[in-house]
Amino acid sequence: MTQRKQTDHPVSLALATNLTLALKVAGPTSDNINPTKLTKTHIQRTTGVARSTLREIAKMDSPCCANPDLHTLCRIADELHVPVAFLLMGPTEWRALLKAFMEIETDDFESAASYQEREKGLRNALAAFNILKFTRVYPLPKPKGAAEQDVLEVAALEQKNEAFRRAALVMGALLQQAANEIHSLKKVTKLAASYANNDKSRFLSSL
Amino acid sequence: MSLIKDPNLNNVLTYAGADDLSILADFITDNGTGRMSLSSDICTALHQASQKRLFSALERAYIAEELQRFGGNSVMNLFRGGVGVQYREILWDVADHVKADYKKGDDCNRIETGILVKVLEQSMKKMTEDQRKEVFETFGQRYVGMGSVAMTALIAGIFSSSAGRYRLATIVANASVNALLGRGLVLGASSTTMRSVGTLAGPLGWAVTAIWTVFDLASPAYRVTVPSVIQIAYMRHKATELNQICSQCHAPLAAGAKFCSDCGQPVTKLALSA
Repeated sequence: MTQRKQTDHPVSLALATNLTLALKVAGPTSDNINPTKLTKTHIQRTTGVARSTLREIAKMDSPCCANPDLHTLCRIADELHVPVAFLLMGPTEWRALLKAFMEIETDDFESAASYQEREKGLRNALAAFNILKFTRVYPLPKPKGAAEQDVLEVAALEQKNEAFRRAALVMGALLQQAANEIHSLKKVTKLAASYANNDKSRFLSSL
Repeated sequence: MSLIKDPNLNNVLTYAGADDLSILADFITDNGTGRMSLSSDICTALHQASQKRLFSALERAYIAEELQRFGGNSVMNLFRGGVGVQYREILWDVADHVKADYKKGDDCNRIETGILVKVLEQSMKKMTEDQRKEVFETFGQRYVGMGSVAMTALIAGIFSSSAGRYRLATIVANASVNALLGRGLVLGASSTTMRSVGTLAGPLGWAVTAIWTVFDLASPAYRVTVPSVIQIAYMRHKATELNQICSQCHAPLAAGAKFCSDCGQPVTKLALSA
């Protein structure tokens, strides 16, 4: 249970923050140019999501209490005209995504992706993971000649590398479905690799 | 006229010994195996120079150029179009990431020491009590526990003397070379430093190899720039101790000079007394 709370808390807090911020600006056009508030009553009327549910979701002091189902989240996101995933993303994820977007244009990622494309092709489950290997960011290094008494450290490092590998493979699988022709395939594969690389401090710190 | 335009690198690389330069070359070329964004010609030239322990002005310039280019490849400099950046900017970037205590106006020596202190602090979390005691004794302090006051005193002690800074640079650089390349520095240091070099290599090695994850240095370019900064910090201190560069402004000194021709700082020390 404790484990679940630790994992849920940032997402619930991100949802509460995002919903609060969105409601502050999503109201109808007014006489002046400033954005207006969108009321919970309006959302209830258009989506059928109860005001009490919205209040519970937007509560930032105890965000874990709210546990909206996917259907509820989708209805709210539709009404706000944003992808449902964006409602669940916090500043950490946005920053990692921004860094990943910037990083994919660097020489290292471009060269690694071109090499992968030439050697094994990019339509490949290992493509994003291989880019991380070619750029030498995977695996996380072990000190050469680490002492025998460092067994625990070595085991922890192997666990981290396994998590890193999984993140790269999963990101590759998720993003490659968005590619519909060869150029975007290269870009999304680089993005998958770079996101896994830039977001690793989050998933490694939970190990 | 030197081929290295950046004065903060020129001062160090022009007079550095082949053993120290070969370490930088090996960081850049990943021990000769090459890197994705490194041209094979430069990789071969640097690897051969490293193997032969013979660095002409051209290979020294390659080291500076590649280091600046890798710095330019780190994310913050992306919009410069991958063009190399000044060494000082590489330092600012790394120092910002590791949250080193520095000001933009500080000289490179001061910023490098700030980065090394962060590596030392990080490694101390994994040290045994005996190893922590060793750290404090190495820098002339009495070990009374790991409280924030003790750490502040330790850091102040390191910054206050050039010998302390050189000792720190030697210990961290040796651990870094050991952990990443599997060999050590060629040292002419004193017995106090040598003892610490051996005792602390383990935890410092783990701290150096974890630095990219702990401080969120994700870009592949940091795999080159971070260990290179540590090595250059050591080389800069060594050159100062050997009176190859001025301790004040880091300008090159003529052999046997008693004063720096640039800033007038007296040249007093003449021994590697770490």
